[in-house]
Amino acid sequence: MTSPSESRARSRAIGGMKFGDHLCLPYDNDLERRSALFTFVSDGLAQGHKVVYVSDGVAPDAVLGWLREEPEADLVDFDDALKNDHLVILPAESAYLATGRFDPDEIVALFGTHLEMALLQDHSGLRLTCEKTFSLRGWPGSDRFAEFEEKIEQIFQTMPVSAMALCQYDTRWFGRRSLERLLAVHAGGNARVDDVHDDGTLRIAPRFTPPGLSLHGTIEESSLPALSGALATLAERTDLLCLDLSGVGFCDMAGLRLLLDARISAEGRERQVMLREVPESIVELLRAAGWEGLPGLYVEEG
Amino acid sequence: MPMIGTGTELLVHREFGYDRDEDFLEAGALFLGTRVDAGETLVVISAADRFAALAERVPWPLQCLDAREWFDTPARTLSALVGLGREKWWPAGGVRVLAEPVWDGRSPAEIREWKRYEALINVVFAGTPTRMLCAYDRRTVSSGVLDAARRTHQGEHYTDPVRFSAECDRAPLAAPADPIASRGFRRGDLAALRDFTGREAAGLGLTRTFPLVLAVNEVATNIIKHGSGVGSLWVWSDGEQVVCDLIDHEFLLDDPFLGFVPPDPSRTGDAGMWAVRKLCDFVEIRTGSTGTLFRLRVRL
Repeated sequence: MTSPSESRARSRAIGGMKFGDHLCLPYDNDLERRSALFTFVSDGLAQGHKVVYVSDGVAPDAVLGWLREEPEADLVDFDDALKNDHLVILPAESAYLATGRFDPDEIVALFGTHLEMALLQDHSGLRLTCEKTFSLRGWPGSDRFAEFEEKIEQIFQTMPVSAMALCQYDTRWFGRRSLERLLAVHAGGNARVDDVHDDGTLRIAPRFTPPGLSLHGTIEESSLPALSGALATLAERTDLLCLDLSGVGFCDMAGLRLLLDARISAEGRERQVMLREVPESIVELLRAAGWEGLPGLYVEEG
Repeated sequence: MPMIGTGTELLVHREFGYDRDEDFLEAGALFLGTRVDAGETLVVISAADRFAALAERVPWPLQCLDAREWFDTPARTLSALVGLGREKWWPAGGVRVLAEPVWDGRSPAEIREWKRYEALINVVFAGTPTRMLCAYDRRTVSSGVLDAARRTHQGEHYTDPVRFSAECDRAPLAAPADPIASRGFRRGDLAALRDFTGREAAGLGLTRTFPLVLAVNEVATNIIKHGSGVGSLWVWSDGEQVVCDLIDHEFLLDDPFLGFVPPDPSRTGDAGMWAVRKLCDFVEIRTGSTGTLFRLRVRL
């Protein structure tokens, strides 16, 4: 696997996906995956797309359960979407193994049917997302899984389809080489969770294990409102906040103070703040200000 | 003025002059040897060749610090004293310090700042269980330094640190030396100002530009946010140091000890100028009817 910063060069925010995209979402924790999928599903419903979610190993109700628990779930009417067939959650067994074995051609045809159906139902297109862990289970024909991904990719590359696909790969389940091969099939690259903020000077992305923010660019006077807003959205969610500073080229005193003051939540609760991969320049600033020993602060130098 | 001590303890800060090394050792040993509390830490900050002779004369262990390293810059020395005091000395029962500051090899401007440092000790350590005795070798130290010592230490000639510091500020600053690179700045210019500072400082031969860039950014941010909003920066060198002058033609300061009083270590209060003073080697500030000048100096 490439590092997060390397893979970012060819990764795209879920919120920016368009018809014709066939992206993969490699993840290693459920918080990140759920946040990404919630965006994918809710964007689709908001834009009038039909959303087909192929779950693997968990019942459709369980998928619906965690979708409903995401922070902005109250903005989405899942009951209405299910009732009116805007959202369909299928178990992998029924999606992939209708014929009793994994047959790439059949599945491609099946997805074609879903797309036609979606258009007949007056949707403007289809959003498809599949959990990709089944291929490891030794089901009949699952050795042809890579072939299936290639076929899908070929369709997206050669035909102007009103569809987009997001393939979820739990990286903990795959060997490194087979994962690299599967990810490489997706010429569009990887999908990533939407940034919280990006103004060209400072980019703020969510991070999940442990929860917090990854910051990239410059933190100075002009970036404080955005940073303060992003920290506030994390406010009450966690007792340990991880701020990854590996991508920060410059941070001024006021910016650093804002990060450190996240040790107290908006409601006055005390939290631990872990600064991760702190560049030397920020370590120097911490020392100069006499802040390196603040209670509740952990500094991991980069 | 915020104090770092409890206020229930009394700072002792005295000086003595000597003409013979034997007199230094005798007075120093007497001071250290009159330790009143077993928890009191005994500290010697002097030339390293004094340590052994003092240790022979004092029956308790001494913590010895080499003055050449210790008296690096006024702000860093103050910060180091405060750090050790808070973490080790004061909680254990106080500290007794025999100190001999370094005066030779310093420029007139540096000597002025070290005199001010002695006055600041009275402010910063007020109310802490600190007893400090400063030694002056009359054979080598100038009369100006000796006069100042009498006014910055407790005794007959003790002068209010605010007044003493204001007198230090009356000395004119050196005129900038050519070539001077200058540019104005206002809101939105900080990134360009940082690039400019780093480039010009490197051009003048500074290898590690980051601390200076950071300090310039901090002062410029203050001018933009709390000052008139518009300032100018001059970057030049006197051959020994790279100098950055930041000028706000309207803003006037009213804090005589700006950036010298250590922030509370358990809170992220306003530590901006405290950090600026530590990031640079010397910071000179002049405020008057024509605005305020912040002069940041970093050794080459």
